[in-house]
Amino acid sequence: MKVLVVDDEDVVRRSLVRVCGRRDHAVFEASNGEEALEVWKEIQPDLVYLDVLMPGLSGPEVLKEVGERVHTKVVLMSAYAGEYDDMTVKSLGADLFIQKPFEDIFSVVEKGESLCDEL
Amino acid sequence: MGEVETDQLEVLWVGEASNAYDLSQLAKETQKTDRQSALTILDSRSVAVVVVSVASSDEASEIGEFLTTVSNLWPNITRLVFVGNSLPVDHAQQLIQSLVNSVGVHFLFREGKSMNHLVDIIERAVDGFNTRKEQNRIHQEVKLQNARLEEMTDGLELMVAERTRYLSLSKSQVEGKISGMRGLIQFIKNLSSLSEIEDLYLLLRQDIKSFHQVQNVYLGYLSSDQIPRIMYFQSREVRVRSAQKMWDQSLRIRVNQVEDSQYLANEFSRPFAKVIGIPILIKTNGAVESIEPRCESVIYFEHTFQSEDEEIFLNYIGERLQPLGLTFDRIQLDRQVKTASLMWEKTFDGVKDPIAILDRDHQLMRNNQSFGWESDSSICFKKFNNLDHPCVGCPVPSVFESSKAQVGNVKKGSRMFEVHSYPIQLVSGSRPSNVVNYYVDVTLKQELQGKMIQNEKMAAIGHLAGNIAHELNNPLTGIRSLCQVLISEVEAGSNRYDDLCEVEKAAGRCQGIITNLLDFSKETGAKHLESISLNEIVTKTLPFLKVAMRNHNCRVELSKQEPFVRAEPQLLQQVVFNIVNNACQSMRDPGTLTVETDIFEKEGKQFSRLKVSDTGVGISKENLKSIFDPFFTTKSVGQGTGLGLSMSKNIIESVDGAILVNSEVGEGTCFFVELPFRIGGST
Repeated sequence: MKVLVVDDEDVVRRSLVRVCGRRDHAVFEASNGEEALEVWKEIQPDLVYLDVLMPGLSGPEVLKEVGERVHTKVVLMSAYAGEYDDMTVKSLGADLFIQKPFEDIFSVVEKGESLCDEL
Repeated sequence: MGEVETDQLEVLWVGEASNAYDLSQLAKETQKTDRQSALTILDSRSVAVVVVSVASSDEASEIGEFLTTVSNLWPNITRLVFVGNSLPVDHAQQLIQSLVNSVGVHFLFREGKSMNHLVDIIERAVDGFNTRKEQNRIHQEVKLQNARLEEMTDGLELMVAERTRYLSLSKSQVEGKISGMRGLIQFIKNLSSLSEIEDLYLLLRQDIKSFHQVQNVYLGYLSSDQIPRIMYFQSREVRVRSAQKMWDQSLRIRVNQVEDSQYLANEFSRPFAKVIGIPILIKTNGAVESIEPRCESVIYFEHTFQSEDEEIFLNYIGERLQPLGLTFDRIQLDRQVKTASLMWEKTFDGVKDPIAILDRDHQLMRNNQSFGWESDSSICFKKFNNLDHPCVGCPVPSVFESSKAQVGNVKKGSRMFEVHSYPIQLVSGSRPSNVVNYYVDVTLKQELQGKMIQNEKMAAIGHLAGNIAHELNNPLTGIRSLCQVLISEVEAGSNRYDDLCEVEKAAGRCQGIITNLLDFSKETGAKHLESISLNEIVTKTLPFLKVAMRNHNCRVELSKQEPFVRAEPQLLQQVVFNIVNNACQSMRDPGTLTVETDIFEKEGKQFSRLKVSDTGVGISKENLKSIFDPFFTTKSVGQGTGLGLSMSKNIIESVDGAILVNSEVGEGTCFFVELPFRIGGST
């Protein structure tokens, strides 16, 4: 499975990459919105971990740029919980919302992977 | 008296002269004559000496008679007797003797003596006459002077008597005048102490009591509502009635005028005899010249005087007119001033905000009722605030310094006043002599302001905190997550494993604190009551107080059964924070802070309770009653607003709770927060 991790915070990105890497996925990363778009177009990931608040293009903006997609699952991550419920998440074009800070990094990854399992 | 001065004849020889003597040699002028003619001559001329010649004794008695006549008529003339030789000696002797005895002959000589001898005698006789004449003259003169003196003395006596009479008359007049003056002075003195028209009337009546012919006194005057009234005495009391018509406006004193009697007759429905009418208060409206002067007060005396007594009475009253008029005027003015003064006072007291007028030394000139009665003192800060020094924030000194209005904030008890102080000049001079203070109760306004500021601060802090929290969240997430990854790759039980676990736990704790902070600083918006447990509040809040707690021991005993309440969690956190913070600040290191929660029952209802006790300095009995007052603080300016406990109390009471406190100075304090136990269901 191709996984794309997008987050401007290095430590967060690294921890996600490490865990995903251990599970035999092809892991790609981007540290900002523009980079994410480029990589996305190139590799066509199956699962994307997308941070909302980033310098430059924000997570939702990236999704808008990407536009219609068929098989990629998107997990939006943010510290601001109140603004996002199932409805808004879907309307933004994402599939799941996970709140920061992560209590347990492993469960986060599991949640992401279960999205893809549904296929 | 009344001798006609003709030429002086020295000698008049009466009778016969002997041929032996040359009569012309006798004296400057000698005339010889007989007795018959002698008297005539003596009558017409001034003669010094009369010589009577005796020729025979037959003539003796006639001579005697003649000499007596001469002596009587012209006592000054020297009488001489010449005895001729024709007379026998013894006859002559006899004759001489009798003459000398009866008549008083000055000289006597006989014929036979020499001429010189005779001349000599004549000379002496003439001298004698002159001497006598002179003596007589002097005597007359003296008599005259005496008579004049007597006249003068009589005259003087008369004058003295007159003067004495006059003086005693004057004295009694003067005494009369003096006693009259005394009476007048006493009258004026009495007038000066009057304050009512009735008293003036009675005084006047009393004063003229001695004039029995005055039957009654009628005092007409304008009352304060400009209605003419007449004051009179009847049945032993003073009465007043409204006049149907205004009295004669003449400004003269009228004696026995029919119009006056008729006027009173109309007013009192009975006949009036003689009446004296005296105007005593004449008002000229000084500003308007065209208006006639008005007689605003008049006195009528009904009397039975005869004309002389009338005169006396009029004089008497005349002296008293001016003082009466003045007193009347004064009474009216007093009344006006009183009314105006009353109106002002009522207005002044009617204002619900305190007003005071002071001088430079904070002495109260005046204050209204709302100013308060903390004490009877006349010093502003003592009366308003029961202080012995000017209130903190008093703007009065700066008003005097700057001569401009100033505003200051002064606390009275639990209320805050905005004091507006305005300079005024009650005494002429270049600088304000006094200030008027107007106190506006801004307690509520300041409380709200304070709350607003507090809220804004909290909001700002919240905002700041929120930002920081989010900034921190990101790396922390990463740190924790990476730690978890590492832990999964390291051999359990090894040192590295244990180290990584500690790091991960620490990162987790950081996340917790940040979450707490984010919760706390969330904006409240509308009142959002939730069912929340006091335990949770305590657990969430205490971490914030780590710094405040320093070296103190902290014991936390939370009730096993969750003490639920319905409140806004953030506000509750504020309350707990405030109380615990106060407790920590009251303790010198190291003290013991105890935080407990429990549930108890009172009057059939259940309550959740939080108890915070410390071993600090305690709160004195006096301060205990004030600690929940807004702005009350024992901290110095800048250290605290004094709003913490007051706001806490408001928050708790707004959800039907109560804050209670026990304290002992030197031992510690214990705060209780009691809230109705409520579980489940949020808005």
